[in-house]
Amino acid sequence: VEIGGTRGFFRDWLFAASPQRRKLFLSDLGLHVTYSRYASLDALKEAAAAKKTDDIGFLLVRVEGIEAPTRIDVRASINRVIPLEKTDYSAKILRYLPDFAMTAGKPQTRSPDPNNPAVQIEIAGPEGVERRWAFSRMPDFERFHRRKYKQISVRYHFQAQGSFPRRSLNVLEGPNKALYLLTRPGRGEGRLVKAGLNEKYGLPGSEGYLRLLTLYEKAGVRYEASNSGGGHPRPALLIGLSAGAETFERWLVMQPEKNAWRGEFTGRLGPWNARITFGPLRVPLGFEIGLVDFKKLHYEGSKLPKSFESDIRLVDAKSGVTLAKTIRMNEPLQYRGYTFYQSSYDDRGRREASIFSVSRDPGYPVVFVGFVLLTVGVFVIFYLKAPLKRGAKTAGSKAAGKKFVGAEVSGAKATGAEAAGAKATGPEAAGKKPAGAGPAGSKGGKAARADGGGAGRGPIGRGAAGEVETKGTDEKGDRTS
Amino acid sequence: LRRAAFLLAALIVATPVLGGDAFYEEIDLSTVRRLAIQDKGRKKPLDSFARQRVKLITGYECLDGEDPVATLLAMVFERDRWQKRKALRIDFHPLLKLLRKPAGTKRVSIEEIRKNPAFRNAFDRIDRTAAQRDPGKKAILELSHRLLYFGQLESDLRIVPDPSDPEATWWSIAKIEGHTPAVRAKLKSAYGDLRRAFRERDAAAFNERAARLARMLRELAPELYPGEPVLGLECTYNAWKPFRMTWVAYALGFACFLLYFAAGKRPLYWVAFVVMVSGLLIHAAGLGLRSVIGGRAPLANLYESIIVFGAALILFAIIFEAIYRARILGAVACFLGFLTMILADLTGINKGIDPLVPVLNSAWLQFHVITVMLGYGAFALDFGIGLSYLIVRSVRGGSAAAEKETEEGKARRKEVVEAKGEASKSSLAALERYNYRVLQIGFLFLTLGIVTGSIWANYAWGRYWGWDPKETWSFVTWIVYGVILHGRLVGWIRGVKSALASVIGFATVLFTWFGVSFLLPGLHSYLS
Repeated sequence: VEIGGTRGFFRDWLFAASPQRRKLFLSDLGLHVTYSRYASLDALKEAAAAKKTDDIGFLLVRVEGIEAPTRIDVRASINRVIPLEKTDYSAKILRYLPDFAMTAGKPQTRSPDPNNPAVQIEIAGPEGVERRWAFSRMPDFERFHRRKYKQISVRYHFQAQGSFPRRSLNVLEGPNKALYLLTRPGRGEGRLVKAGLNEKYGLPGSEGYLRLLTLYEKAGVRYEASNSGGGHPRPALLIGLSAGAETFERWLVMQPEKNAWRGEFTGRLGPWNARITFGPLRVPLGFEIGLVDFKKLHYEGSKLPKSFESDIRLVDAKSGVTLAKTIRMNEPLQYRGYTFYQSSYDDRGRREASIFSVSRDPGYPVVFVGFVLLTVGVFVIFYLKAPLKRGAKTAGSKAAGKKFVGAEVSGAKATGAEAAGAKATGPEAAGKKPAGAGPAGSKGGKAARADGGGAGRGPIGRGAAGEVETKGTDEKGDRTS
Repeated sequence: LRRAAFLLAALIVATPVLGGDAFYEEIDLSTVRRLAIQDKGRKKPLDSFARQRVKLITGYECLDGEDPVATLLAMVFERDRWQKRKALRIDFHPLLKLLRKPAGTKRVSIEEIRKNPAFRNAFDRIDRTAAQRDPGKKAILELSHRLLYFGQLESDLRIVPDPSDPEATWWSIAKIEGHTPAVRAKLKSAYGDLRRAFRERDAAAFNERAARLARMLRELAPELYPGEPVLGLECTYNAWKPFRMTWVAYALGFACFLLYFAAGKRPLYWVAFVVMVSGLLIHAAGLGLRSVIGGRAPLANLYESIIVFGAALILFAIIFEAIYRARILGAVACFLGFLTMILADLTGINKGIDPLVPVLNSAWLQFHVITVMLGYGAFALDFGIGLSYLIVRSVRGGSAAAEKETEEGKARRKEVVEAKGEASKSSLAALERYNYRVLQIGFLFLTLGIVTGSIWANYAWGRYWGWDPKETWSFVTWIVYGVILHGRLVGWIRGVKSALASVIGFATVLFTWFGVSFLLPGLHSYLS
């Protein structure tokens, strides 16, 4: 379809078979555009003529351990207390919102159309009262939200059969690509007309138009990938395929699957059924590990976790080594440069799984040396340097004592002073200072300029002056200590 | 009239309590106290359990001065009567309002709460997710937990060992399922006899039956049952409360230092020093006891980190006092140690000796936490020195102009070098020098703490550094102190600036330590 207006147009595809993609919502007009297919012309006309039904669906409330769920008809049961069979619980439907949205922090309905039907239900039982929303479009909503009664699940079944939303343009397709357009205004009856490709139809309430461009009986979707740069890495590969006269291109987008990342193409390629995959290269480690058992240990007589541990068996075919080991938190397994850590587990599904992180870090000695250097460095700079300086200063104190220059020292210049000051520890450095204060003080000057962000020439001279001042007071300070 | 009514009500409430007291004096609680109980993943004497539960339910460490074990027995054995006792402390005014109690009310009884429709109603409406942010709702939830703990007291009294249980879970006598029917019947009757003796206020019978029950329980599984000395040790720890003694000692030490400053008598200094050292000895003994009882280093939760921090602070103060004889260092450390320990003791942090969570179960825990806490301790001492610098300076005339200060400072520094009198020890220049020395120590330990933490993280998780909030903030702290130290080294930060820097630096430490734990949850959140 192409939807146009005074400000240009856009094109988009509608898919009759996809619940999510058979609809468009033009938010600035408040208009829905839908596309649906019917097996016969009668069915199409019946659907187009259908009034909105009164039926707003039903709830199925299931209590863990009880076989049969309780069915509650929403329309008939609003504000009635319904006991849940064979349990101490009861449920009460508080309200029904056909088009649920949070408006100003409160649940409200956007329209009278069942675009997002929701029911608020109150569950009462021995442990108190819980209020919960159930959405027909989001059956999993409750699983991801906190609730008091975890053992109770509420499913909302709602099918807006045969009714199209108000304020909508609906493309209906009958057999043999016969197209109809049903215009349903905000109020009143809808109007069904025969429609054709490439003709413009006005959008109600605006100067815009809708045009049907292309109709495919069997549509396939082809991805066009581009390099987005940010976010998670998601590699994609464009491949060209040709079989006889047929040539085409396909993007293989790597997507997380059960065991690994994989991008896949399956389809006909000339006379063959082809399956082409794109995934990370598997590098054989030369050994295999298998999980024998996963254990979650608790401290005696409590639910406090004591240890998560996996018994594993490692088989190294090359050297013939077979190891049975236990990997615990804080107790990884190291083998041939690889380290396996107990990082997580999954015992919610039918199958228990133990999850390891694996790392290979040949740079460990370097990092270790870094740690040692860091610690020794901190020690040296504050503990050994002071005595060294003190020793040096007794020789050079007379020279240094006179070097007080009344220049103010601020951020950028002081950095320069630090760079030079670090060098100037010996008595001879103190002696050289008058020379350093001149243009020859290039070291300090450079550092100052770099830090000052190109503030100009001024900092060079002053930076050198600052160096002298800093040095002087520092030694003065040291004498007191 | 109102006051009279109140007094009368108080008297009525107090009568049964007074009646109970005499009996509690007569019975021999030490047998009951040393019954082993399995609670929170550990075997401990009933004494510990009683203390923890009585504090939790009533809000008092000792209810009306009773032994917590006696209170526990009354809760279990005379449940109905106890429910009527006004024993639950409620400090939160909106909660009193909800319960329809006059504003001056301190305590309510369990029955009053249970029968209060407004409380039930409010509790039923609470949405648990929102309750954490709303103090009113949180208070209602907490009160309901107190009721819950009271309700399940008897089934939580898991004092019956069962060697045949695969999970090594002990039974409470009320809900015992293990053992043979004959043993169960015997235990139940012994327990019933004890209950009867308690209800009938028959002290002699109670003592004899308590001893019999204790013997029976031990004989059920002598190999599982903790030995007398182990149970006794923990009871001693509970009764002795070493960490309460430490803050008393540090307060005393601080008082002695103040007296010394006022009177200037040298012996007073030695008294203060000795008091401080003995405080540290008690502190160390307490830490040792805790390690023995818990079977692990006392480094696993917020309370333990605070007491280790307190010890580190005093340790550094003693070392520096021994080197410099600075006087002011000891005083400052005693004051801060007192503050630390009294806050840890009286703010209601969980003081239980609970088992380690799996992440912390490693030898690296000791290296990491001890070095970090040594660093924090030094920074706290440094903060104290910085503060006293600021105080001394403002007392001695902070009005002195800035230019004058340098001249004055120079003169004073000279004075320090030349005069070795008492007064100069606490002079500003000396304070500045101690400040620097202590900072160096703190920085070294913080560096070591971060390094050991990284090594541990690599060992346990396979990465050195993950920008978890605690890691990030410890890095910020390290940078802040690094800047301060280098600034001092090259001479930008001197005098008042260095004192202020110590204060700012310690604020960063506090945020890294507490702020991150409470505000920015991450991998290190198990502290709270």
